[in-house]
Amino acid sequence: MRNIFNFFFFKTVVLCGSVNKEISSAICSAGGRAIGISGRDDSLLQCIKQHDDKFDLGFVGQVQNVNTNLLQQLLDAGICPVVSPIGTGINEEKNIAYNVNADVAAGRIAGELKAARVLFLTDIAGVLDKQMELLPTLSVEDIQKLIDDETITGGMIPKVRCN
Amino acid sequence: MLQSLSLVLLYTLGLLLLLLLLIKPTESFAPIFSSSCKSHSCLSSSSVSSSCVTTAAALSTLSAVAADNNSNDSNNSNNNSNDDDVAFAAAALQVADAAGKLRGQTIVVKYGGNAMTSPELKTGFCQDVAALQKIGVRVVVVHGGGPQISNMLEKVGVETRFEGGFRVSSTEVVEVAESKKVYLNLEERERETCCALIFLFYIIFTHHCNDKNTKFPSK
Repeated sequence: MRNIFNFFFFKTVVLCGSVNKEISSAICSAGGRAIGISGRDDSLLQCIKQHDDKFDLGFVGQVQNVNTNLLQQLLDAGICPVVSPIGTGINEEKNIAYNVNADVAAGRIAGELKAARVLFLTDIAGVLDKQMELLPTLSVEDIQKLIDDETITGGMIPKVRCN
Repeated sequence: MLQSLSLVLLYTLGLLLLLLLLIKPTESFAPIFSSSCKSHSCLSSSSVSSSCVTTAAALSTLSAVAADNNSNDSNNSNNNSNDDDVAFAAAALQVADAAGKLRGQTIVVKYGGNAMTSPELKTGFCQDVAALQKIGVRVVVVHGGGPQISNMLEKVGVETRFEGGFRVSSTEVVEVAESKKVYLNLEERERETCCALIFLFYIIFTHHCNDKNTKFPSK
């Protein structure tokens, strides 16, 4: 019976793991051209371990270099790359996979590609102030202030910082 | 009585296993997503049915032009064909303008895990990306999957927590997040095991019938 249980378990893993391919195939079926790649392919996201003063984050990668060759070639060919934010180590750490925050990865890739815009699609309207009202624009100085007084918390921090 | 009961039990087990193998991934996937379906205010523009309006909404979001009024206009004025035409022309002009500005530009879209909880959101998003691609925008998609990974980790029983917006990642977490090819191979192996089990049940079942010289339990 354990085998049957495992069967279900791994099936679920496959489903979760195929988020990348699902998106690329859905774009294709909507009439576009897309390819699903991971940050480990062609050393796209080269990471080192992210050090934090307060906590040990484990295998969270800090993006050092972005190899945009593949992305440029795909974009030139009219194909939309769908990147899953898993990074690869550098030099002797080549075989290590790092978990990269998707917001950080998007920010870094956009920076390296000199993108015109970066969009973050999520389930809230945007950065909210203490009264839960939307802040339509923010400057770089505002961001640090808002993080310090804990208006911006949790998953919004990587989104506004992008580093 | 006991014999017939055991036979029925074996038979149902075999059937159950057969059913397990026949379940396709997509079928079992749909309910998982629809059960956690929520309304997302920020993505409501993607769920507009007409592809033209969707494109208009997507483009205007990108070009930071407030097109909300416009798309509302074109939605509300369905009764009057004249108004409809005017609204369509206005939307088309706006789309053409935005498309001209964005052609050949690169846009990076981060598609968060919270925004892919329902199939409608996902299709809407993918249609938008395809539409942008068709007008010559270079789109790069970076996807998240936080809620999906958390779900998976919960099932496996790996503890996970966030510090300063980052998931504390042990090797297990990275493995689940990456879901390497290994898992695919393992799934095949599990499938084989199930086939073997069914075969085993079949053998036991037929052997049992032959032994007692009965084909099916009559009493």
